[in-house]
Amino acid sequence: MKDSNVVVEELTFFYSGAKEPALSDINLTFQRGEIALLIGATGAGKSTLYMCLNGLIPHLVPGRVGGRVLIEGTATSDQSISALAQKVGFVFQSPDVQLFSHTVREELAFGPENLGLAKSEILRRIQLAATTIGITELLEREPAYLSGGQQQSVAIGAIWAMLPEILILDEPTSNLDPQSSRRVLELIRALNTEHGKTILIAEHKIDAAAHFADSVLVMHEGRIEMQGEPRQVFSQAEELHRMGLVAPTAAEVAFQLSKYGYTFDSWPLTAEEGIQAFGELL
Amino acid sequence: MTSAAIIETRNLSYSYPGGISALSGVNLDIGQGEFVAIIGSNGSGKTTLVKQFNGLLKPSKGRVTVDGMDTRSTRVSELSRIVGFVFQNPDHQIFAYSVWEEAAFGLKLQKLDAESVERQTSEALQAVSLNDLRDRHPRALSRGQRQRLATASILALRTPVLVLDEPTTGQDFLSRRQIMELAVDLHAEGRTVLMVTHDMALAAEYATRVIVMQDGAAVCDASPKEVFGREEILKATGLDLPPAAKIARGLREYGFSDTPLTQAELVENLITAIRG
Amino acid sequence: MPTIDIQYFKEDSFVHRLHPFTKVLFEIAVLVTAAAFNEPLFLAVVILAIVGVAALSKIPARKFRYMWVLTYIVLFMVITQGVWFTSFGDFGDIDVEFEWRTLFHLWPAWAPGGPRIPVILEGANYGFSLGLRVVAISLAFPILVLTTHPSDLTRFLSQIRIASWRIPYNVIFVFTTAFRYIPTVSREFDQTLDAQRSRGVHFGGYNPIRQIRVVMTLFVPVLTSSLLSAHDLTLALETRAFGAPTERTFIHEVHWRKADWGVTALLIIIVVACLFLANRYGLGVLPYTPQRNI
Repeated sequence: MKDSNVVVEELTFFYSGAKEPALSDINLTFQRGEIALLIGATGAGKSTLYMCLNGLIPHLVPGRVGGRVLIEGTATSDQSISALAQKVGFVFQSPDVQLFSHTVREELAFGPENLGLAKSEILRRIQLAATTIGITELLEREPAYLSGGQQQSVAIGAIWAMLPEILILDEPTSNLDPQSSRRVLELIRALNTEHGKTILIAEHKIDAAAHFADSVLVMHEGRIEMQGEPRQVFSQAEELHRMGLVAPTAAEVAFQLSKYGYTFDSWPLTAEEGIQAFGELL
Repeated sequence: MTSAAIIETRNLSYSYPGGISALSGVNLDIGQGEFVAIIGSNGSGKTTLVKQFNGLLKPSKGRVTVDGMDTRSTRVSELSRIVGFVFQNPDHQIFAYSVWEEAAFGLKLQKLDAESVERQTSEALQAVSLNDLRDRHPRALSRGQRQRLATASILALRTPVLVLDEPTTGQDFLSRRQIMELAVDLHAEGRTVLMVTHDMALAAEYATRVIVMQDGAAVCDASPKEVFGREEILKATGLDLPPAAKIARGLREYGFSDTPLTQAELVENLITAIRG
Repeated sequence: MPTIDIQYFKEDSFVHRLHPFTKVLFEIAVLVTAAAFNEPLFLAVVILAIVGVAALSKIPARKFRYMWVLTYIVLFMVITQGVWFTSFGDFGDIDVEFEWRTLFHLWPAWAPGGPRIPVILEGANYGFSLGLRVVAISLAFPILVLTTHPSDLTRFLSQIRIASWRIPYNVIFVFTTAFRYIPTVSREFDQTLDAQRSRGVHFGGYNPIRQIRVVMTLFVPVLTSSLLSAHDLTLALETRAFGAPTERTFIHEVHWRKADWGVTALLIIIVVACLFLANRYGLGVLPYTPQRNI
């Protein structure tokens, strides 16, 4: 095994009182610096999986756990939630619930303050997070009155100030317009490529996100049904359709064309790749 | 299909209390039986515009007429018989203790006889496939089901106009398809459908007319083909081409001359072009 | 509908710059002086002083608009005290010659039967003074919250220590974060209002039973979504190390300035002077003050 900072082994989870498992038999490994895209219909178990990765399960959410989750080599059950908060950052879908401070500066300071870090260190981290995320000019503003895109950036910044090695983002663009969605996705990509963070992102807008993932995980009814490189996963459009999911447009078009006997050396994912692949056919 | 205008705006301007201008000089005729997509970035005035259509907001200047009634002198409860409004978040409206009660609420307010209430409510619940769950508590439903329940509560009113505000935001592919199939059916029955959306693919695939909003003005109002053919407008408003149109646009270099908007059209055009 | 809008109001004024502790002293001073006097004229002076402080803090008058509700409280006090003052009050060594003046009778003379229920002038006056105390305190309290940034308030509350006891941080968090959610909840309220009006719900009208039903359509969704957000908020807090076992750092500082010394000294002088005047010379105290209140 190479340098992997997330390892999930035979994880199963039942919410207390539930007869059906919310997660069953999950096996996963993330390499340091990997960016993984998680897709699945509503109710497929994505949220339950995040909660297992950041320790809310088993520490806070009642239920029955089988198997184990290792973060940086230690089982989540052996670490406190606040210790895990420094290793695994979590960005919620809706910015409104995760921004509770009166200024952006305080929002960024909140996590480090809870950890009881030295004041100079906290100030350094606010500066670092604000410049990395590009929200320096928002520091004195009130989070409640920012635009959706700015709010989501602040939420990412607040997590960034905790300096986690692993970031989980739950459909971070679902409430944003196309322009802000693009910006937020570019930001997330930069955090991976320029800062080497391990990132797990769930996203419905796969046309925008498919191409920059190193791997794709497909969840269905509490299981990981498909797992692999984006090109490999998205070339199996029929499988995805069965689970109520779709591939990026270029991949879907390629799939339709393949029914007519056309073949592709490299399965297209982005519009650009689609243009090239279909152009060659013309 | 299109006949007399059911909604007319004349020189419509609107400022929020505090003086922030949200709409300026909007002139639109929405014809009976149209399927209109209203697109634009956040803060462009899309939602402010549709809220004028059932009187939730009243013009600061100019006027809005809905089925011949001036919205300024008509109650929202009166306009709600013409324009049904489905909001993005169902949790902002669900209050009843059973699915049926929730869906029937609007009809009961209209003081319809019990028989009609029962018939129209059941039909609406059937349309969103929730009739089997009619006695459930709404909280026991999934998010997608609650969205459909909120839709049913408006469908039951049988309004000739339906406004869908961001109908697919945060929905997965399956629920998105269910909602849109329902919208298509309603449109086929002859109802007017107005849809506010960020999703260009949705506008391209379903709408017969697209209105682009920017800074409170309707900057473009034409067929989807025409709107998505005018790249300068999309660029200026920060919107995207629908993915299929984007691919087709790039294929022009390879001598591809069709202008498909949807995935299905693109595949069809490609096959013809390759074979030809 | 009168909205009670006591959120921090951003402004740069003398009052805004004061230390939260100084403002708490001001609230205490108001409590004490309002309790010291019960002569309406003296209480009117106290209220005028509070209005002066509000004006100094540049808070627009509309923030106090909801205060008209207090008129009902004052009215209630005047009538109840006017009717019952003499029957329940224990006036101790008050001069037996003292003559209560009847203003009017609730039950008119020409109506048959029944006790006539006199309204006593002194009682009404005493009730009026009780009402004015409530007005003074209700007017003064929002000034602290309106002029103190929630971060300053949080920091100040976290600094309070009595021996080794401190206010637990989660209590402070709940208290100051509640203000942060006012815009969120009011937005949710507006969206619910829009959604229900779009279904034909008409708000307003006079049928009380109908109004109760109509109000339920607002409160159930707003309450439910608030509870759901509160649940999500706890998860969000956990992922930001809320309640970590280490001692929490606060990077925010509140400063005690020269002006705070000045204002504190002034407040102490005023309070002591008022207590002295009232207790020693009976200034601003009605001669018919009951020894035991009813």
